[in-house]
Amino acid sequence: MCRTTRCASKRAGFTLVELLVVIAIIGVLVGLLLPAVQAAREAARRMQCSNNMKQLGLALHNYHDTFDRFPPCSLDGSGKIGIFVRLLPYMEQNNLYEQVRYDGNYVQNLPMAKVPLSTLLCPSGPEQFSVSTASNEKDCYTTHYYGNSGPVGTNGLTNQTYARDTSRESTSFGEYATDGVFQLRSNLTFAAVTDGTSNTIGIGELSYNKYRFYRAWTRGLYWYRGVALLSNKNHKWPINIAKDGNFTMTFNNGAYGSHHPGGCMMGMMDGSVRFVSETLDMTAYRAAASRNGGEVEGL
Amino acid sequence: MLKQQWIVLPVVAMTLAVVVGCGGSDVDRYQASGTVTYQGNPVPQGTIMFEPDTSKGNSGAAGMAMIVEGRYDTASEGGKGISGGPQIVTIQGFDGVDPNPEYAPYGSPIGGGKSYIKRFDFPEAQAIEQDFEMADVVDGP
Repeated sequence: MCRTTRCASKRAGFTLVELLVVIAIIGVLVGLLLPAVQAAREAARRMQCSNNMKQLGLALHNYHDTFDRFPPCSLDGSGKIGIFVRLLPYMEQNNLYEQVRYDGNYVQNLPMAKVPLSTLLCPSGPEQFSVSTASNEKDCYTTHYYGNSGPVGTNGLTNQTYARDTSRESTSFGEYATDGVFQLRSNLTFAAVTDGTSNTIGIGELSYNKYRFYRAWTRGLYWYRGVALLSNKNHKWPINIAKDGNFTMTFNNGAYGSHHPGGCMMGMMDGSVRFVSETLDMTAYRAAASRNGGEVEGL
Repeated sequence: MLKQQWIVLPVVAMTLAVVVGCGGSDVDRYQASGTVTYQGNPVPQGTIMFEPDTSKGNSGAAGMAMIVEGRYDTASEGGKGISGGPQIVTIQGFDGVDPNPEYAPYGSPIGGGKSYIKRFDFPEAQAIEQDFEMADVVDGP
């Protein structure tokens, strides 16, 4: 019978090889697990983003139930409030909506934008603030979701160019498409979406890090020698094309995209939310962005 | 012996899953390059997009490239190759004059509000070299 200490010293500790084997096994397991964990986290964020869009879609429908039309992106060129401020009472933010001021221009409502509204921010989007250099817009939260102003380009079915309001366009901000659902003083109804609500994009996601035109989420359409779209954007460029930041574009043409791998979310006018691939055919994409082009194929 | 087989099976299954799951899913893309000018002068900065012309039966993902000092090349950084066949080419060029970081970081768009959108018949499944003159469209009728 041996003494306890001697027995322990005989088996205490591991050999170097044993240790290395254990470390190697743990390393392989972690290496296998880590990407899976990251993918699961991203899947959860995408689900959250999809839920945000769903809420906005439902708010649009409730707004339509009340006013019998979809919200305009602005009533004048001062950009006091955009689409999402108009939707506040329909996403349980009535107390925030009551702070809206109708005097002056958009600057009076900027304090509202210092309140983060998680429904307007995709959890995968790293930039949550306005990137404006204006001092009064400092620390204002932005929105990662934009109303559909319309497509820019050619209708694949009729070979006609999609409608634009060229009289209100300026060289600074670029095109102003009008075949979408949200415009200046628009009062479009469900009946105006003749391509079908499930085939027409209502809200698109634009949440990548290097987008240069993030502004306060309260702002609507602003007029400066032409129309600047702040709560809605045209659909002109392929999804995710501007993600690396070198892509050049004008203010009004949202190059929609996100950090979700392979595409971004789009909320349709019927309230459903789709994940749209970045390899989507441009003709089909524009067809989905127009409400009345006669092209009824869905995304 | 039986015990060893039980270990082999999941290992094979896992390897298969990794091999199948990580397979490439990208579409075939071909490089495009050339120059972009406006009234004979090189376009300083901009973007060119090639999208398959569905009215001619073509389909697929769009390709794009940055225009830098009048040249574009889908093989350079940030570019994506084109899918070949008939294409609609969209160009957004900027003059780079008096840039405003707030809303016009590359200067004014060339051709004012007019979009450069034009159809081209490119050969299928090969790299192309094509020069574009923006005045053809934006100064046209």
